[in-house]
Amino acid sequence: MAVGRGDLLREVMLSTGTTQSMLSRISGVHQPSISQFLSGRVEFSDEQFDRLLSCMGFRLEVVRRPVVPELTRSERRSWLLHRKLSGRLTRESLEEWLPTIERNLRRLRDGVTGQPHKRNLRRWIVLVDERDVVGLKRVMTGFDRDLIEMREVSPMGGLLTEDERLEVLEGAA
Amino acid sequence: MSTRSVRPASSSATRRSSSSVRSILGTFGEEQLPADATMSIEVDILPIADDNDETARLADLIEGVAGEFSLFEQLHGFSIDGVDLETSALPAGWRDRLVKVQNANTAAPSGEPRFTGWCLDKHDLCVAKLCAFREKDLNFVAALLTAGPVRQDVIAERLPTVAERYREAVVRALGWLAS
Repeated sequence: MAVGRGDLLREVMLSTGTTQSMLSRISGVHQPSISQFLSGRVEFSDEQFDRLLSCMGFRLEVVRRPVVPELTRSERRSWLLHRKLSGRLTRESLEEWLPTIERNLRRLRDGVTGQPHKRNLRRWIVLVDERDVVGLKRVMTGFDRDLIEMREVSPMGGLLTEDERLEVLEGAA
Repeated sequence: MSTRSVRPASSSATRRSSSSVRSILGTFGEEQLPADATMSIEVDILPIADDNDETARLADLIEGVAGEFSLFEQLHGFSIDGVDLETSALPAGWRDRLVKVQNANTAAPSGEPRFTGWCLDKHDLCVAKLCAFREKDLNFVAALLTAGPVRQDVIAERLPTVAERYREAVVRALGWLAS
């Protein structure tokens, strides 16, 4: 399991006997901010993290490696279907798809309740209204949890033929 | 588990049924549910088979016919997602508490036969959602707790009975319930 930045910071503070107030004085970062970093209430960047670690005699090493995301069967199927469509998405194709997408958005507006579905639906609407092809591709192929959840209220139905769709699903099985 | 609710069905019902109620709707009418209870336009169906490989195979078949982006979805306005036993954390005894649904909505277009759908018990559904612990899951359970259809003590009692591999999720869920 990945260790969070707050946990790592806490570990280094404990091992070096550094209190929040000491770290605040040395780094110039406000103590409440450090407290929020530690509790996970506030995200902080690698740069900010490195700055705090350097005050305690450490540097941040970031290891980059590709990992296979943990997805449910349906999340993986949905990603494959959207990836197929993303390969065809251009400014021109988006214009052709608009009537279908807008019909789907109307259906979704009537059919979903609660959060985050309604919020995610609004995000789709903004992306479509702004003809944000790059943003749409990101949602259609990304693995951040909020992108996976956006695909649960996707307006991209009806754009693949049934044969194309089944071919994609075969690859997922 | 996704925001959609798992709706177990017997293998025969899975082959023949196209009932569209969601799991919580096996217990409550839509008008009885709080507006904040999160629901999408997908219905999860768990085919009951002898082992999970067969369940997964049936789930894929369901997906092919009526899943995301299918003609079925375009026609009916919702899709059916075939899920397997690994999809969600279910408390011990969930099969004995399934809620039978058999009415005009589960009938063939001609009115006969009336197929049978089996929905998760409302508290078992909340257990599964709390183990998943996503925003939509918490919102769903919070809305039901606030509105009154489910009892916190029953959920808390059943949470520890899920499979051992969900132990951390149970601790987190119990913490959330107590907060």
